[in-house]
Amino acid sequence: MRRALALYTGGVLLLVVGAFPLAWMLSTSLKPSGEIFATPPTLIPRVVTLENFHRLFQETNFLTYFTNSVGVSLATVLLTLAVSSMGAYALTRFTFAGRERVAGLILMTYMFAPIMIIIPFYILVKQLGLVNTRLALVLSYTTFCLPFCLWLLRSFFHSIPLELEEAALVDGADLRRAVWYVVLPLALPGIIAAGIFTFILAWNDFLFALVLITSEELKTLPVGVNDLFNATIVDWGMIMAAGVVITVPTIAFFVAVQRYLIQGWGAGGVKG
Amino acid sequence: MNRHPLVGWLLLAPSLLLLGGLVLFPILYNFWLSLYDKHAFMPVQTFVGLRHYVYFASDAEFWSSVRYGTIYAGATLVLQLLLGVSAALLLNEAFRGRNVLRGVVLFPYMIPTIVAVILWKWLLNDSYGLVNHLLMSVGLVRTPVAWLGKDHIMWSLILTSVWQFFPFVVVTYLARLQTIPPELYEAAKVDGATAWRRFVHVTLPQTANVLFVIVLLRSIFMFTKFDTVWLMAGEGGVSRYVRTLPVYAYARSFTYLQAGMGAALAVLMFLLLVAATAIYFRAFRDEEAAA
Amino acid sequence: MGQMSRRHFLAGSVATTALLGRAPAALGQQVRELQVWHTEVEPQTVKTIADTSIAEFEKKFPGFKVKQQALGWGDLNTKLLSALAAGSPPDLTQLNPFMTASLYTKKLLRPMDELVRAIGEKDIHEATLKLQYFDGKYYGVTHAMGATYFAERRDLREQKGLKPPETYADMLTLAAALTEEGKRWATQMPGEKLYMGFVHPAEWLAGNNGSWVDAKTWRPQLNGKPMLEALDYAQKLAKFMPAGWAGQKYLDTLAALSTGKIAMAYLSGARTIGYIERYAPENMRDSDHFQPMFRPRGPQGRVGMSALDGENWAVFTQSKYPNEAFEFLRLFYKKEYYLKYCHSVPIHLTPIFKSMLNDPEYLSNARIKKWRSWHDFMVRGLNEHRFLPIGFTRPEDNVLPFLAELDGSGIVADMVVEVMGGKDPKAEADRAQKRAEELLTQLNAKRW
Repeated sequence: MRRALALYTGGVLLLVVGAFPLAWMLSTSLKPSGEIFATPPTLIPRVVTLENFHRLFQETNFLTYFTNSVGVSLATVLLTLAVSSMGAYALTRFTFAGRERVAGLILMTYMFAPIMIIIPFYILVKQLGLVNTRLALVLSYTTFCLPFCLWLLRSFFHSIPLELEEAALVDGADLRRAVWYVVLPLALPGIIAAGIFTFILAWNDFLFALVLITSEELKTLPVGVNDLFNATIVDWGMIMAAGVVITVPTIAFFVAVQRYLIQGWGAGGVKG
Repeated sequence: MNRHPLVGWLLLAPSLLLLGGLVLFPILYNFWLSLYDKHAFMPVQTFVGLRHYVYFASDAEFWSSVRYGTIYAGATLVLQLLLGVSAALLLNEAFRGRNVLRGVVLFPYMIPTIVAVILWKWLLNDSYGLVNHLLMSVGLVRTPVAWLGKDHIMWSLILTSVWQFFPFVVVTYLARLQTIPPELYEAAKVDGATAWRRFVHVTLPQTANVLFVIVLLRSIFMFTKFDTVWLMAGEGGVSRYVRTLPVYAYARSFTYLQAGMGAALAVLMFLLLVAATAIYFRAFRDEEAAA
Repeated sequence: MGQMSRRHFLAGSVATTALLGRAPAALGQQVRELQVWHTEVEPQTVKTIADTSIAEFEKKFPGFKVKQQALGWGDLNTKLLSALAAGSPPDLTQLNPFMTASLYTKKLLRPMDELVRAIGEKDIHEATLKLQYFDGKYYGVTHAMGATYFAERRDLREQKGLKPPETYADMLTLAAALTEEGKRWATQMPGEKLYMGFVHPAEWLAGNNGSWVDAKTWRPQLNGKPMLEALDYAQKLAKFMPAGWAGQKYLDTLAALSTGKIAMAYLSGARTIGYIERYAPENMRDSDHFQPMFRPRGPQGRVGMSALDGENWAVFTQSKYPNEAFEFLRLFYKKEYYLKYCHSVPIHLTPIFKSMLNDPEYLSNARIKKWRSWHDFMVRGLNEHRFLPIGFTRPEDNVLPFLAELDGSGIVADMVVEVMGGKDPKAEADRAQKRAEELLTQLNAKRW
């Protein structure tokens, strides 16, 4: 009984911490301009209006930005997960000379703040003829996520006992099947975590999207939302509406995906 | 058992290709540039050797930015860990509404940084902000607190950053929690262990290696964090009170327009992290072996 | 699940990303693009430019498409640096005058005498004509002018029976009269490095017979008498500002003015009108309540000075299509197009041509008619020489090649925030002076 109370109190606190600002954002997006600066501030709008959302879709290219961001982020996740799981697997299950050194070097590339390499990066992208393409964004984001994902997945692969694969190999499977059917399901929570991290980084990046993209049609959400702040009048209602539109679908997506973080995937496969 | 090393290299090749091709060149360029004096507008530079490094060794701004950077990274790391691990432990238990809560807890991490910063700057606004309104209505303070003024801006920044990034600790730690075999807990319960003892003797050892990696990666992430700090106060009047090393490095390159000096600062930041990581690895040698 | 192997998976991802990248590239092969960057981000301005200058340009030059990019100044600055570093700057861009000299001295800009003569050299207002005139040639032309000043709640001041302040002392008296504890503050300065650390200190110096550096030796004068008197004034004025002012932005102050939290916005331009019309109480949205006000002068100054906002167009030596860039500008300044451009954000975009300032067609715009006193105020200020480009302490500052760096370093902003937070002005000024001397030496600008 005490346990249930502790659980629910914790749950409510977490809900407040995570969701209260969301509620505030939602509330502001539904207020008319006059009420936004009211003192005292009102949590429940006195007047509920959809005009901010209306303006967002009518007066800006929000939908274009949204589509671009979704496309670029998903492509980044696919590419990053594929490349980093292969790499992390190699770093844990294979022994070859220089393995640990390579892992260390990869970690070191993570220590260079992206902000500092933007200019040489731009020059490089220009040489490759990829300026103003979404491919350039996908490649940049993948490269920035790789060190983190490699190290994270390495940790997860380490915690999966080697005996499991060995058992499958003894049973007659080749290495590929052993990995696909035995190792990956166990590492799935880690892969999902890495995928979430990658998605968010690609979703959220501002600086590289600003510098590498010049066409209005290819802009991503952060650059588009930032434009709203440079307008003559900062339209708080519209900005909060943008925030709502960005987060609500993604929360729904994650509520669905979080199921795959659950236990039961092969836990208990090793006896003794 | 045939695990040919060559296959290992092949699997690693795409990662190395991308990193080597797209990141290594800019990093090497940065090292090279730090030895030159270059104005950000000009495609020419003059060799000055280690002059920039010597300058920064005695530059008050540099040491101040290291201090601010360490405070910021340290505080946000500790708070993210506390909040993140607690939340993950909570979300590992079964209760009604848990699945929705797991989605909701990701919200801070999901919104673009600029929206998160604006949201908090507005909540903390001394005139219109909800936080001050609530604090005053319960009587905790009598006059509005200037959360974004020079005295409290660092704490406001830490609060915003912790709120924005703790969900990642939740997700990663929870993922690892989910793979702990339940039998271990059963066995401990049979032995009469309380919840706290189960945490200390089962959970912690099982998750030690992922904690090691989380702390390592998060510290680097927060020490090199630029956009949240910049958007919160970088161009503002109070910027000197949150001028961390990444912000100072950016400023030297992009606003002082001294590209060579900015590059030197990036290198110094890198070296500091390498040193800290080496110490960290040495201190936690066991975890590193398992990680 | 079948036999889908890793290789297929990887191939699929790469193919997807390749497709995402290919499509736009394939389409853009045949056409030549003229890159035009500017800082007027209002959707209606962007549309006006597209419908007028761009439409006609693309008809006259069929092989070309004009790519206009509207960016905030900070973002434009970042992109510009990357572009210059890669050797591919835009064909045409807007720049802040305090940056133009820096670019000119590095031989990165093209002269544009022909263009200036073609659009009517004699008709351009003196306040902005020679700003980019270096060594006998024009290297820039202002796109439009926007004056800045205080915006005050005129009704509140008149209730107290006070006149617009002329000196620092007058201003402090007014500020004290207008501040009501817990209800309203007298004024609020924007808590942004650019304004409190560059624009406003420049105004203080200009209005107190001071300057950034000695005219001949270029030695900084941050701890000289004019600056110290200004710092003392600022420190006293800070008592009448909300405590958290340094953490709030320029646009926040306009909202504060509109909603009655402050009586005077320290930095105001025509954008304020937009805020008033959106956020002020309905019965107060007029110039009986909200009026511009000139800045007070310092003890040693002739008259209070304000910043004149007006970016200049510039074409780079490395621009790909410079001739087409100049052709585009000819269309931009064509009277009927230029009029539409200025009307897209009235008063904020005031024409640079003297003839247009009194032109009935220009003045017939609805917003200008409603807020006519604001327009007249600006014209009066121009005639009384009360405006200098942002960051300038004297007209001759246009040749200083280090203003952008001085602003970017935040040396002055740090000094101002410390002093206005209560620290000793002399100590902070001395420290700023030392840092500024160091910076100028590093930039090879030391002549003392």
